[in-house]
Amino acid sequence: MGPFTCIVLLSFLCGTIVTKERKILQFGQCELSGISFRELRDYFGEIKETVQTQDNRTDVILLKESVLLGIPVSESCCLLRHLLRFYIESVFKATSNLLRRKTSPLANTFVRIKTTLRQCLDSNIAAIKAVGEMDILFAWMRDINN
Amino acid sequence: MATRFGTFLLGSLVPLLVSGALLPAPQNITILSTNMKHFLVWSPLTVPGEAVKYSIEFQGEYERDYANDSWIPIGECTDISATQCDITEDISATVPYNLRVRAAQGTEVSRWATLNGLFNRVTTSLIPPMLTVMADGYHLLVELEHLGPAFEFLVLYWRKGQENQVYEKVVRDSNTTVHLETMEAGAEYCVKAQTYVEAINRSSNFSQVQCVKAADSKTFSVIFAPIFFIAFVVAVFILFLLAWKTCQVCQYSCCPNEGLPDTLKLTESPAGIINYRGEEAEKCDMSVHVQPPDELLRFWIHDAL
Repeated sequence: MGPFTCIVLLSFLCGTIVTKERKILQFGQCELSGISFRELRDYFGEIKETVQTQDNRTDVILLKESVLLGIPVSESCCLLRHLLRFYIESVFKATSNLLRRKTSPLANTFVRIKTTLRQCLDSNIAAIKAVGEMDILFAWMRDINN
Repeated sequence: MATRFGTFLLGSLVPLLVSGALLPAPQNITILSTNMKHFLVWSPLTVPGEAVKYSIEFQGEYERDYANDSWIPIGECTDISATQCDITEDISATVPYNLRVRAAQGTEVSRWATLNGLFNRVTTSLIPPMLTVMADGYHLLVELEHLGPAFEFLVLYWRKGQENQVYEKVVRDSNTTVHLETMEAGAEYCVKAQTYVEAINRSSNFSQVQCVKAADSKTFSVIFAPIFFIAFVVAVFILFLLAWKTCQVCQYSCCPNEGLPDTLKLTESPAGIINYRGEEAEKCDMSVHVQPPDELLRFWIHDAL
C-alpha cells in the first residue's frame, strides 16, 4: 500500500504551490513556466478517490506539510526535483495496470517539471556532498537504536 | 551484424507468424492539432472482405523512459472503423508523445504503424479567438468563444483615435458576456483579443479589430425623451392631486363648513346688531329640556333594572 500513500500526498504537493498563481514559478534559483495547476488538480482528482480508498495505512505520513514549509527557499529546487524523481522512479511504477492510463498524465507532467529543474546541483557535486556527509548517516543509524 | 539480421528477421517474421496475417499496416499517420484539441488521422485500408477496425496506443516520455518502453491503449480508440480518433485526453502533458495504429480484419491483425516523429502539444496551432463586440447603451461588451478550461483570453480595448491608451482585461471564464468599459456618448471603441494557454505557455495571434459606436447623446434623447415626457406628466398630475387633497384636509380641519351664528355676522353698524331680531332665541336654548329631579331618578332606576 506504500505507493498509494505516496500518491495521496500528491494532493499536498499540488495544494501548496497552488497559492502562487503566477505565470512563472520560482523555486530558489529554478524557474518554472508552462505548468497549469488546474490541470494537475484535475488529473489528481481522477485518481484521488480510487487511491485514497486503497490507502489503509493512515498512521504513516510521508510528506509532512510543516517539514516542507521548513525547507529554505534556496533548497526548494533540489527538493522538488528529488521528490519528483522519487514519484517517477518508484511511485508511479508501483500503481496497478488499471490505473496506468489515469496516472500517465501526472507521471508525464512530473517528468516535464523534473527536466525543467536543471539548475539543481549537478549529480557530481551531489555525490561528493553525499559521501562527505556519510558520518551524519552513521551517527543517525547508531543513535536511532539507542 | 548477425544479431542485427536476427533482430530484423524476428521483427518482420514474428508478427506474420503470430497472426498469420498479410494485412497491411495503416499509412500516412499524422496528428491534426488545433487549439489544444488533438486528432490522430490515417489513411483507410482498402482490403476486400470484412470491415477493417483500427486501434490506437500512446506512449509519453514517462512510459518510454521510465516504464519499460510500454504503450497504453486508448479505450475510446480501440476497434473503431473511423480513420481518425480524438486523442486529446491522453496527450495530457507537455512532453513528446508517440502514437501507433494497428488495423484488424476478423482475426487478422496488422503490425503497428507508428507516427512519423514524436508529437508535443506545445506545437498545437492556436487560432485567434472569435469575438462579438457589442454596445448596449453606453456599455462596451464582448462575447468570447468557448474553448475549454485550458484557455484564457487577453482582451485589449481602446477609444478610436486614442490608440496610445490601450486597456487590457484578462478573461478566464469565456462562458459569460464581459463588460469592458462604460463608453462616452457617441465615441467609437475598438476591441481585439488573443488566447493564452498556461499549460504550454503560449499565446495565439490577435483577432481582427472590431469597433462599435456608443449610443449618441442625440439618439439617446430620441429614445428616452418620450419616456421622460410621460414621467413628467405623471409626476405633475400626482403633485396636483396631492396638493388638492392637502387643501381639502386643511379646509376641513381649519375652516369647517358650518354656518356662523347670526351674532357673528357683522353688519354695518353696532346698532344694527343690537336691533337685530333675526333669531328669537338661541339655538342651544331651544334644545335644552330641563327635567324635574324625581323624573330623573325614575329614569336611573329604570336603567339599572
